[in-house]
Amino acid sequence: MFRFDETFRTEMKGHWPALVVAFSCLLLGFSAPAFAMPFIFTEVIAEFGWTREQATLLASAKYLTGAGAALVVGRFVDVMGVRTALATTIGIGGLGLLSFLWVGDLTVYYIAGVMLGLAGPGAMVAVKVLVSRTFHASQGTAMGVALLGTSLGSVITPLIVAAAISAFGWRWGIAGMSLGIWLVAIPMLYLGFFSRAIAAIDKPRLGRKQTQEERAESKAKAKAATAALLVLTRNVNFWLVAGAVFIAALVDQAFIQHQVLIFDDLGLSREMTALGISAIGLVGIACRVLIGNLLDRFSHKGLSFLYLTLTATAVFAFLLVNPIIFIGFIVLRAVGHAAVLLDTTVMTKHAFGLDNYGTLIGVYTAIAVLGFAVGPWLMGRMHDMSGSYTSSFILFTILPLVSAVLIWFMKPKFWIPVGREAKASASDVGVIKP
Amino acid sequence: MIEVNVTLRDGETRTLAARPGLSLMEVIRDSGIDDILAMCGGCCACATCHVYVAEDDTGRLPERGPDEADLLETSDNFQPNSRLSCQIRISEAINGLSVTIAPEE
Repeated sequence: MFRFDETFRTEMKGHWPALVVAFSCLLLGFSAPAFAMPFIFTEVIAEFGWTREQATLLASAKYLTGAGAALVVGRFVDVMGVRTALATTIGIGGLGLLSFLWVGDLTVYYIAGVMLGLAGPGAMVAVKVLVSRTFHASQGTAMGVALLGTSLGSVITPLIVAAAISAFGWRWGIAGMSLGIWLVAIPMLYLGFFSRAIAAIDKPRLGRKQTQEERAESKAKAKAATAALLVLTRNVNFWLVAGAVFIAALVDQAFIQHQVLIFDDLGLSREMTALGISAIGLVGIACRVLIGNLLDRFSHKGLSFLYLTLTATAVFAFLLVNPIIFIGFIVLRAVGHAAVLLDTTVMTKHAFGLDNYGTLIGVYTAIAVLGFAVGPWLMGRMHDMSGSYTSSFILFTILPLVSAVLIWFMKPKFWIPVGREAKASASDVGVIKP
Repeated sequence: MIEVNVTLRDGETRTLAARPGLSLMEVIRDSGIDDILAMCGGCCACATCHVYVAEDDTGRLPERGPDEADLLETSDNFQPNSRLSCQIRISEAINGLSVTIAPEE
């Protein structure tokens, strides 16, 4: 079931320092900016009197920038090398956090959002490249370990940022979240033992001239990918997946970014709010594997069912004063968020196979990130127009139903259910002769 | 071993060993034949893996699905024995099947 053979062990033993760097960059450089953000909104609303729409547009600025950054950062990593790309992207994130010290108007505030938007996808792509180039036999496991950095970040960041804001005020509290970037993550990339491990595997293209064949090959590849994408957009499956992941991402991110404001409206203390959000992260880690397994087993129909947890979340949001409902809300948020984290990767493969996977996953990630940008703004706008979250909760009860219906009608032509795959490979034995 | 006979656009016929569970398109593509583009990767969204099944063999294949039929009927090179090779699943039942790759659209 698991693979821990000698190749695996040798690779892990030889390259663990790269894994420590990847984990640290995701924990300190990706998670700190991402998970601290919802705690900023209540503070700027209190200090500047901004509306919730204006305050949460920070998230939209971040994710809109992120959608663009996700498309170009891969090239940046290729040209500059992993180390420079990582240091640049998480450094920009650190500067974004520091810039809250000087926020005095909406322009500066949104520029900070743009900086955070450049940092998140940049760090994630650079880490993925680092792990993929370093680990081969154990790539999946290594990526899982690196991604634990974001999982751990989702649990501890809310607790740390809430404590930091209480102790030092919101500006210094948020700026202080960049300390891990300046004191640990970036020095690790350039100084001492860990930096040598990265330097050994880093292959920047900068300064190295591409041959004519290489140029022609990448041009032909880009042309083929565009042509394939045009063909696929004529298929109804493409739009079913696109619609479903966009709407689900929109609803999920709206709840993530408005979480602190929603809990605030209930009169919860900042510490309780942080605990609640941290609990969502913790339950999320536990249920991610189970949800992945559900998708392997039931594909689009399983996802359709899981999207209903987003609807249930919105219904529960009406009744959060009840402690049992509050706990149920936390569990459902964790399940819904885990489903949204997994939907694009799994459904893309189930619907379209692996031939055009790279192109499609890029497009669907950009679509999901657009959903992330629209959701928080929409919920904030609806709140400001009506003076409460009621109308947005009603809308966000309905929207996931649309996602569930869309994904139900998708045809997973490349999906092999768990069990049937094992049976199929067993029956293959002895059929192919050399 | 399951075998399929594929006639290329230049008239050459090759016999390919095919593994059950794969699609005919994958078998043709993996053998290095670049006459078919299979742009959609086999999800029945284009007709760039169009083949003609030998008259004697048409009855050995299941009927075309609605998506496959729609795509083929809009092709300039459509014939009654047209199939999309991505929709032909390799199994013992089609051992010895003969197909000809359709002209490029």
